[in-house]
Amino acid sequence: MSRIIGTIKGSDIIEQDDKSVTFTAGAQLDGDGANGQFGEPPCYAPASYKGKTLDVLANAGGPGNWYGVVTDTGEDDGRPIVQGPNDPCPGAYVSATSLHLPGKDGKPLPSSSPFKYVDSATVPFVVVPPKIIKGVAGVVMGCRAVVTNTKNNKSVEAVVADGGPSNKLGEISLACAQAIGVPAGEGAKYPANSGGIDASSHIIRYQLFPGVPAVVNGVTYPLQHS
Amino acid sequence: MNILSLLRALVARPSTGAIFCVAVCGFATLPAIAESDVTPSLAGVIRYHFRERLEGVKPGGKQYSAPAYETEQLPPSHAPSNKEQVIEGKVAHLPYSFVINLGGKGAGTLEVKILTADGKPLRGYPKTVANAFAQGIEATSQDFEIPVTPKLAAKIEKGLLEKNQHLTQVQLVVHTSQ
Repeated sequence: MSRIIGTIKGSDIIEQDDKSVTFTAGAQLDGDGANGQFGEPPCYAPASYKGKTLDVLANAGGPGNWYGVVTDTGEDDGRPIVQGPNDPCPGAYVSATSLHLPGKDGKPLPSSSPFKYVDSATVPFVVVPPKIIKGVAGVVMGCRAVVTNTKNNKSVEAVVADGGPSNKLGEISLACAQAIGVPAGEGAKYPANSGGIDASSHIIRYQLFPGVPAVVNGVTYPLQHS
Repeated sequence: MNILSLLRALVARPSTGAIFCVAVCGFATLPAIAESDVTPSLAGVIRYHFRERLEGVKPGGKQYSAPAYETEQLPPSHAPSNKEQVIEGKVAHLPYSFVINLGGKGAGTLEVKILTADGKPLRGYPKTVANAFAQGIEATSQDFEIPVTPKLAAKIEKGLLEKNQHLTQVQLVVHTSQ
């Protein structure tokens, strides 16, 4: 029997009979995890960086309070890790997702590796609040998701790859937005800081499959206990 | 002779038929021209961007949430003329007045004025964008960063955001409703 896991700002989060989780919401944009892994711009970089970035640096915080980039100490008062000459975007910061990817050998990558994180610019992914992660038995981070824009019926296979605030529902990567026709800040200076669909619109349908590893563009993602 | 038979007679004659067609086509195109001349209505939204420190994260895990935002709507626009749309007003969590004008400084030109409580322009404003919503480019919205002092940021965090949420940026988004 289906049950309501919780409600966030008028949207019920429902665990269905088959253990999938569904809700409808808007779609804010998350550029985190974009480090140029597949040739697209990084999410964040210092002011001295010459190339384009996906988000305005203020959304990563600042000295003493780095909320959105990886630091040398792992704490928000550490110094941001800067990509080196052999990394995809030398000079850019390393932006993280909650979901961590292994190296080619299957072993964990260091936190400073740009490849440890899921690239918002090229991988359709979904952001979920703690209420969902803690509210179901199956592993949510890394699981399969299907995201549908009910306004144009465009749908995409995605992976749950990032954690959102406790009072927000409905956030996706830039690649996910592009795939289902959600404005993804096309032409804007900072695409992740523009676009999206307001949370109150309820036109995006999310279906998550906790415990089922996502397969997106031929890549199987690891399930990660939180 | 009723009106239908009169029209039939007029259209049947080549000279009057041509005049009749031109007149009908002309009237048909008038509303379309008028509609395209009307400046579309505007909407203004304030986005308060933030991140939340997540509780119970394992060592080595991502400590903060993905970025997200809360919103506050500015009042709807009004049209002093067919060529102009204006938004005037305030929002609850900023001590500023907004005057946003589309078309007043020329067709398609967007002007954003932000005034502090003492009526002075906020640092960096007014800002003007030509062809702000021209078709073919980023047609639907324009974004403007609103500077906030640490004191104001703390006040917004206390009044609008929830526990463990940190304001990162305040932004005005102006978009057309057409």
